[in-house]
This record gives sequence, structure tokens and C-alpha cells, in this order.
Amino acid sequence: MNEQAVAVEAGDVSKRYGKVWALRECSFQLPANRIIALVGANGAGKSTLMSIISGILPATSGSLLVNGQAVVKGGGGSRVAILAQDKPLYRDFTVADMLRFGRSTNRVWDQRRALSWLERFDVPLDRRCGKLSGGQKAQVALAVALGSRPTVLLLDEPLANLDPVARTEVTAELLAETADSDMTVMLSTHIVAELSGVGDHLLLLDAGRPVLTGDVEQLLARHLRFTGPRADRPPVPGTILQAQHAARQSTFVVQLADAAVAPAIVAPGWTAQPVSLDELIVTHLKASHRARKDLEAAA
Amino acid sequence: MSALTHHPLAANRPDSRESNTGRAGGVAGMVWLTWRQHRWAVLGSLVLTAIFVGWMLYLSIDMTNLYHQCHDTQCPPFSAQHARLFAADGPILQAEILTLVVQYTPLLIGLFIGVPVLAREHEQRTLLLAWSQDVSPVRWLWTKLALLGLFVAILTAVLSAATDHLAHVYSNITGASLFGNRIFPVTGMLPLAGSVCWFAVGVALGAAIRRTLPAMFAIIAAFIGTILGIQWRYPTLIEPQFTYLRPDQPSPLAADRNGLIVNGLIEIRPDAASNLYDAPGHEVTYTDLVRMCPELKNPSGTMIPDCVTRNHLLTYVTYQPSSRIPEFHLIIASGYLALAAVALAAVWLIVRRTNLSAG
Repeated sequence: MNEQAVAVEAGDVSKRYGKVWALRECSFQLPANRIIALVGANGAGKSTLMSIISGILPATSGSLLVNGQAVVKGGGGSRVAILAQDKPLYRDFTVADMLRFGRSTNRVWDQRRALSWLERFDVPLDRRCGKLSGGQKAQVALAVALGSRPTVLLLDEPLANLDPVARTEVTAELLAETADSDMTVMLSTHIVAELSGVGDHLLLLDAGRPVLTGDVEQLLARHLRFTGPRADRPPVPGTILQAQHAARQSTFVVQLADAAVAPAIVAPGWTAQPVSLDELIVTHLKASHRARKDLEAAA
Repeated sequence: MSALTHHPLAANRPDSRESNTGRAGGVAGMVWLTWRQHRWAVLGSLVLTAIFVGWMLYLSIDMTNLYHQCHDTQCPPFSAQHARLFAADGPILQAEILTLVVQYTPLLIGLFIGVPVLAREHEQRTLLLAWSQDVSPVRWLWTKLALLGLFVAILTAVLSAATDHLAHVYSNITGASLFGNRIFPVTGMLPLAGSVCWFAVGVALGAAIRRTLPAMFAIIAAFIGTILGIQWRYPTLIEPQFTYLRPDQPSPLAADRNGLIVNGLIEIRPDAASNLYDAPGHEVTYTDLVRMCPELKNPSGTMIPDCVTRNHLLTYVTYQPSSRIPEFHLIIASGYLALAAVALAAVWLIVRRTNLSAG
């Protein structure tokens, strides 16, 4: 990652609403020109983090750089577009008006890109946004966001209003747009199954803190499920994320220190299996919950 | 996981690198956006203003013709011109209705142009959309306010000129003072200053309350309160001139019919009398008055004026001469503009402190 350009760099970013911390000491680096999956349960701080990155919400503390430039609320730094969960559009504007809105309010505008997106999803240009279906509204909002040719595109639950077929098509198109441009896409979701084949970089949030971040393939390579005879510890060194014991059998999900070094299982009777992305996320979230409860109990 | 799997659908579309990316935005873009968002309010107010201005000009011409027919004096009662002027649906009544409408024009502007600027964006959550583009929130705000404010100013400047002309014609024909509380608020620059003020206040209330309907109720309450306050307070914005008058003397405004009597009534009630003075300027109490005129214990007919005249009593009259009308207009217009400035400062602060979230 150090060799790659960094799209977003956060240093101890925190955000407090009254007495409630939405984000606490978030530090991470996200690579440029990738699709970053921001995952977390409801209330984990995903929308808050995206809002801060986009510059519409100031952080309570910490530093945030987008493409090396400090994020300033309402400032003209790096070009970041954000698509909110509810995909707000001007209800009395036609779809064509929305594209003109994008052209009118952005320094850079790519009409063909926006039109092309709408054509692909058969969204009529002359229809008022208030009369569009939820899925069509999402497409219009995406077209406006893409048309502004941002360097970072933040999509908060972008697939929420889409049917399964549209989800597949939209994710595929987003992947293609990212591949064809120098854009970094960050999309948030709390539905782990939505991530399949979408994100190539993961940022996992739990209770406002980053739990796990990294390249998805590298993360998957560093996590293994070991099954073998009942034991207190797995057969390889690493961080135990999950341990299950039956009468004669133990199962461990282990985060290895270094994926480049293939684990050598010397203990007889043990097998190692890769974990899926879903399992990896759920396991980390559960481990994070346990750690938090332990901390609370200790306090 | 295959990170960048291309879907067949994507493979068939044109390469976006060939797209027609260009520079956009700018003032022209904001002009279009402002027009597109507020076009019905803008068109509606344009049409209504054109109708009212045309109507007022027609009435002014019609009333002036009748005034000329009466040799540039008030038409005598029972004359044909008087009957036409004061008919049930005649020009005088129409002029009174129109001046009333003009008095409430600033409220309509605040309601339908000012309040929706931010309240509707909050309600529809479109501020997030607007403020996450390249145009900064502050530039978005000031450009919209400048464009809409300029429109309001031009529109109400024309309306003010037409109303002022009509008010002068009305005053000539009816003898009503231009300083009176019916005409004074719609003359000079007041409709213009008031409209700009209530436009700004409407924007501020919309920004603070974030809901269109409650903000509308708030501006209605604030407007009515301010109008009542002005009507109560304006006669004494500058210390009135004063004089002591005998009841048989003409009013100090006899030769200045557009002036305003602030206070000058003699009040005599059972066991109380006020605003009566003897020649050296000492106030005459009810006891003094009964001593001078014992018959006042059971007053009737012309006993009171007779008593006042017989004893050479004076009354204290305070008044504003018509020459002060421009000063009064300037004071109230300055108040309106100061209120507008406060409202705009509040809007700026609110916008700077408004934190939006995508969730």
C-alpha cells in the first residue's frame, strides 16, 4: 500500500454529536483508484465518516487528507462527490434538469458520461424526478455524481433501493467506471452479501472505530479456519478471532501475522480452510463486540 | 475475489475517456439553477406586479381626470364626479384595496420567495445534493440571495413608484394626509425597503426553522407584529413639534394637510380632564374646570366648548409637519434595511454552522 497513491488518509478522526461519539480515533489509509467497501452495522459511523470525507460535515478532531489535500468544509479542495442514502433529487426537476444542475454547479462536467449512465438503465430524460421509481432515482443520483468526474466518489448504501438484477448491473458498471478512470469509489453497506465481487479494499467499522482495513485478497489470505482435535490453541501463531470447541474437536479462525508466509501445519489431524469475505467480516465484528464488552465489564 | 470483474453490459458501452469533459458551473449556472428552482414564484410575482401596477396606473389616470373635472379641488358632495369616485366599487375603494395589498406585499414576498430558499431544501434534503457539488455553500447562498434579492428590489421599486403616485392622487382627491397610517406605509421607498427586509427575514426563518409551513407562520406573526409596532411608534420617531392652541384657532396643519396630528385631543370625563391649559401654561384639572364652569357637573350641548372658549383655555397640540415625511421614510427604511442585514448575517451564520450528514 505504501507504493500506491493514497486517496484518503485519516489521522485520529473523531466525531461527536452531543455526548455521543459517532467516530473515535479513526486512522487509516485508503488507496487511490480502487473500490473501497466501507462495512459496518447500522450506527457504526459509516455515513458520518463519508460525510466528513466529503467535507459537508466537520470532524470534531483529527486530520483528514483527500488526495493529499486537507478536507475543508465547503472548500474547493479535492473533488469529492457523495451520494446520500436517500438519494435526494429536486422533485420538480426533470432528469435532464438534474444533469443541467450537475453542469451548473460543478467546475468539471462530463455530460456524455452522465447520459451514458442513464441510457444504460433506460431512465427517461423528460420525466420529473418526483415521478421516478426508487431505482431510477438512484440511477439519476449516480449519473449526477459520475458526471461531475470526482476523484473520490462516496456512495452511502448505493444499492439499497435496487432490485437484485439492477444491483448486479450497477455494481458491474461502477467497477467498469472505476477501471476506466482515475476515480476512487467508496461504497458503504451493512449487508455483507452485497459486497461479493464489488470492493477490492475493505474498511470495517464497528462502534465508530476501524476494526479492519486492507486489500480484500490480502485480508482473505491472512485469515484461515483451522479444524482439528480439541485444543486450547490453534496449530499456528496468530490472532485468534473465533474459537469453538466441541467434545473432540476445536475450530479456530485465525488472523495470521503475515499472509506471505504460508502456514505450515505440523500438528497432526488439523486442516486449514480459507474463510469467505462474509465470514471474515462477521468474525471480526463479533470479536470486536466481545472485546468491547470485556472492556466495559472491566471498567 | 476478483476485484475488477467487468460485466458484459459495461464492455459494450463507449469508453468514457472519450467523453466531452469540460469546464462548467460559474455564475451562469447559478443563474439557471436559481431560475429553475424559483421560476413559478418569480413568474407569479412578475404577473401579479404587472397587474397591480397596470391597475394602479389606470386608477391614477381615471382619478386624476375626475380631479381635473373638479378644477383640481376635492369634488363637492352630490356632484357626478364625487358619486363616481366614491361609488361602492369606485376608484377610491379600489385604490384603498390596492394600497392595502401593497402594504402586505413584503409579507407575500417573504412567504413565497424568502422562506422556501432554505426551508424547502432542508425539507427535501436537497441541501446535501446542492452543497456537495463544486459550488461552496456560502457561494451557493450569496449567489441565490443576490439574484432573488435583486429581482425583489427591481420588482418592488416599480411597485413603490406606482403606489406612491396613486397615494398622492388619492390624497389630493380625498384630503387624506400622506402622513396618515393608511397611506404613509405604502409611499416613498417603504414598499421596496420592506420587501427586501421581509425577503431576508423569510430566508433567515426558513434557515433557522428548516420547515416551510412553520417558517411561514413565524414570518406572518413577525410581520404583523412589526406593522403594528410601526403604526404605534412611527408618529413619534422624531420628537413632534408642538403648540398651544385656543379651540377656536385653526389647526397648525390647516395649511399643511399632509401633516400628522400626534396628540391634541381635549378629554373631559366625569371627574377627569386632560390636555387643557390656562394662559400661563398651567394644566387645568377637572376641579379647576368645574370651578370655572359649575354647569359642567351636568354637561350637555355646547357647554364644554363654550366653557373652554369663555375661559381662554388652551390645548396642547403635538404634530409632525409633512416636510418631515422623507425623513420618516428614511428612518423606517433604514430600520428595514438594518433588520435585513441582521437577517442575512443570521443566515450566513446558520449556513456556516449547518452540518449535514449523508445518513
